[in-house]
Amino acid sequence: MSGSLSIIDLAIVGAGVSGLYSAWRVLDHASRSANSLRVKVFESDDRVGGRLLSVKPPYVNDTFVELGGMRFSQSHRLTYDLIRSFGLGYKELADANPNNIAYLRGKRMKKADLLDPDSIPYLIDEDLRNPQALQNLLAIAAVRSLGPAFKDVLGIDLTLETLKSVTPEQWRAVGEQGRFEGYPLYETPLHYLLIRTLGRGAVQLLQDSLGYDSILWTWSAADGFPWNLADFAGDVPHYHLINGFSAFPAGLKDRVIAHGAEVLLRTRVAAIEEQRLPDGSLGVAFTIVDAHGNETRQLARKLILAMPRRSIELLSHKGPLFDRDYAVFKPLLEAVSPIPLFKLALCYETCWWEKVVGANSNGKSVTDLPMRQVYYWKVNPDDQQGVVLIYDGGLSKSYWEQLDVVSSSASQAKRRDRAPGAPVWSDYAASPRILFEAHRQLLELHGLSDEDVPTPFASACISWGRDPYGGGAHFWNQGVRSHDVAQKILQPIEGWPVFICGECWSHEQGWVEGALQTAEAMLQAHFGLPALHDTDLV
Amino acid sequence: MSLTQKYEPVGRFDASTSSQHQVELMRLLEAPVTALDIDFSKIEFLSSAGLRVLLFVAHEMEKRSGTLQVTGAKTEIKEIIVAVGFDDIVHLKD
Repeated sequence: MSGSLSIIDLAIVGAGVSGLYSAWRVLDHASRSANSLRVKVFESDDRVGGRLLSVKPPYVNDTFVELGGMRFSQSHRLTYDLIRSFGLGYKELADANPNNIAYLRGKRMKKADLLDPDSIPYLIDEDLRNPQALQNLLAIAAVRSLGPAFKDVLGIDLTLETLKSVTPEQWRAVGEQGRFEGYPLYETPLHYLLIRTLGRGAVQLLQDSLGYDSILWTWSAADGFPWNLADFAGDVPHYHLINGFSAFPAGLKDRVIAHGAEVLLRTRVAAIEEQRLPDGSLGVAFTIVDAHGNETRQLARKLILAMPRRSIELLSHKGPLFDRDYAVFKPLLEAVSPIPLFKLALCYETCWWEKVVGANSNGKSVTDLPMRQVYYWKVNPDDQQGVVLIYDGGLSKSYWEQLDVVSSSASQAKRRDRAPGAPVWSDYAASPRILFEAHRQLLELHGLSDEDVPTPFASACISWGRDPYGGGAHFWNQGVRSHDVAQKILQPIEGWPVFICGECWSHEQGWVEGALQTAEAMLQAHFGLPALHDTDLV
Repeated sequence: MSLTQKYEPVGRFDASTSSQHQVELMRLLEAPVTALDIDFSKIEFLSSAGLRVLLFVAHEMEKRSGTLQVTGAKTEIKEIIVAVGFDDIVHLKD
């Protein structure tokens, strides 16, 4: 029964990049044909941006620290072109600095030493014990294990050279039709192929020195290889936004509001159900809960869930998605695994690490200590202070998240008492226990002692594995035909105008580009919009 | 048995004085102190170096399940303590 409830044209759940981008594109398209659409974006948090979260550290000028997504590359065409068209300032974010440290298995090396087979404390097969091989371990594994599949499916001789020009369409064809030992590549674990072709020692070196425990696990060879080799064709520079990555979703929000739509913060969508509208069409009834806990029922002609897997799982388990058609929806929803990323920023009065890694250092050091990756965050050279950003890209529950219990709950309580808006540092302040443990590990990584380095004066952290996100990024699971799932989940129940987009089910997982790509695919396939690059918006 | 100590710094809590404050505070904490009250009513300025000392002491108190209280801080100093999120670990009192 719809009663006298007013009907909005489009409800979007989630004010992250994919939700705001979808809202903006739909509104812009309608305005060109003088159509006026009633669009509302609902966001349970007190800020927009989802997993983009830029905060300003105290006492450090001209710097935003990224507690969420932090970079993009020129190969991310949607992200790059939109950021340029929005006029947002960006600069290069260095990743590979040969003077940075690799502290692995108790041995402290320069990162450049990772190419010296006699320096690395790993047992490496003889044929890989040379700098060229050590620099290209993943690519060598791809050539060795996927060579027959490329020959069978595409007639291509796969070499380190031809690997550089494999297109996304070719990767898809090989991923769906190629085999290894008789099994489809999408049912063959990436990690198994790595062990089989490189040996245990080289795979462990790869995992430890990349700084992520997650990216060589979880998925099949069909999805894991193309994602990990995305930058293999050459040194692709990565950039970050000078005023923080949050400026991008903020820019999208401004454009949505300029079109007359509403972006409602602290407004959670609790349930979505099927609803026959007065004109006979099939629509959506949904329940929203405001900051005071008041529930309201609303109607929409269409609804977009611009949310990651865990956020969707937190919806009330009723309606077609979780009841009548759950058998259809469940395998799509569970085709990806959330990766529980943790980030921690520490502020110091001086850039003390420059004694070890050199002046004006940037990029990251890596270690097999729980902190895993350490970024020397770009700070105004006129200031003395510096920020270190620790990034644990773990596969399972984070070492750090388990230390983060107190600060997280305190932070949530504080945020409830304040007006919504831009995120502030104090909302994410880390507990002293986390801060001093990270400081201790930093000293060990750099080979320094308590006497050498004053303790930090502030810190902030976030565990993306917590609700409602479930993970900072998502990877496809093994046994999944990911391109089929990516297409089907855009409208999971045929005929019901509920759509899903976001980084979660993309082929640029972990990147803003993934959020934009799935939104684009959904808008073109189900909303009749032209491609972004066929408009004058970029 | 609980033991309370009070510390009454004067002037600035910054890079030029932080080492001295830290030494004096650590000397106080050599006793089994479970509650430490830092009277900030005569402090005019709190810098990042001063925050570092507060954080260090807060951690020491946390390790002994004690409490750290800052009393009488001027509004602008309280705002700094709140802005960095220290109000979760330091009890601010007028």
